[in-house]
Amino acid sequence: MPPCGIWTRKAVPTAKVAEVVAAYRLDNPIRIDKIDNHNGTFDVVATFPPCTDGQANNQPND
Amino acid sequence: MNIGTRSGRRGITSLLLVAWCLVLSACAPLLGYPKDPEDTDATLSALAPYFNGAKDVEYAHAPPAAKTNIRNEIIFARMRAYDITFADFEKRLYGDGNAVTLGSDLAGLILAGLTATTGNAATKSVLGAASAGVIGAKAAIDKDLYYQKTIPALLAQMEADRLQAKAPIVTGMKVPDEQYPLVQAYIDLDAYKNAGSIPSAINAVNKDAGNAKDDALDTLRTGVFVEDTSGQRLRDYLWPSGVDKPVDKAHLTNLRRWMSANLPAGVPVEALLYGPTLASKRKLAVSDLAVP
Repeated sequence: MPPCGIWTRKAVPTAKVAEVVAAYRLDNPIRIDKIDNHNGTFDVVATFPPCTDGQANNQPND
Repeated sequence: MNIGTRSGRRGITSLLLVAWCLVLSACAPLLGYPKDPEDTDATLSALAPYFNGAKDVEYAHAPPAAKTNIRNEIIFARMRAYDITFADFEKRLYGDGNAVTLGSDLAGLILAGLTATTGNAATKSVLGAASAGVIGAKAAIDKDLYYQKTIPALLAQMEADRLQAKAPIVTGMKVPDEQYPLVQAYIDLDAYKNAGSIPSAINAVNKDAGNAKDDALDTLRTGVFVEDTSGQRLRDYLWPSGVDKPVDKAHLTNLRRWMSANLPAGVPVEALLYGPTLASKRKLAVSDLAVP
């Protein structure tokens, strides 16, 4: 079963963002967003297809 | 010759009877429940008017002031009947499995022992065949009773479900008939009755397992970035020439295969490489895949 819903890696050092993005891309997300925390880190958010009935609910809680 | 054969057969029959009696006497205390002093068949017969519509008619024609008492009487009677049948079901579910398994073990052992110690070749042959038959039958029965190991968990689930289903009934009995009519009570009683079934218990257990799995995924879904030696080694294993170059497909296939065997389904590779709660899994992956 491929990943579904939204997965977030928080506080990624700027120098490591490319690694995290490359790792997420292995699972073919719909989109990847990088949110600058203005403290030398980013939150990297990968959006996968929505979870459907029968799949584990790994949609965001918030 | 004939007399000898007849006498031998009689002897074998006696031995088999003795063995079977031993098995039966050994089974009784293995059922796990004390003998019930109540004649539950008689009790169930006495409760028949609460199931055949007789009491429903009485309830329907009763003045409003009397309806609550009749309703509660019907509820009590039905709950009593459901409790009796559930207790019997529970005993059989738990007890019969033990009786079959241990009983056939004992019978098999006795017959095998007699085969070894009896002198006559014909007798040996008959006893050996009987022993093999009992043991073979046990193997077949064991297949049918494979769920025996799960019975304690299912029974616990059934009892928990019954308690949960009992709550609205007990609450309803404290209020007047206008607020909790018999029709509503019947709906709750049906839920109470069904809560003591294997399909219902299996559904509840599966739901719990599914929830636990979802919780595990939720924990992994969001987390701060962590980089450790194992993560770095896995990264270099996937991208030997750097993350800006194509991934090593063979290594990725190996890693995915490992993940499918060691992590919940639906976890992205990124979570294994940088997730804060998967450090031990990273280390294990490095070891299992012989990552340099």
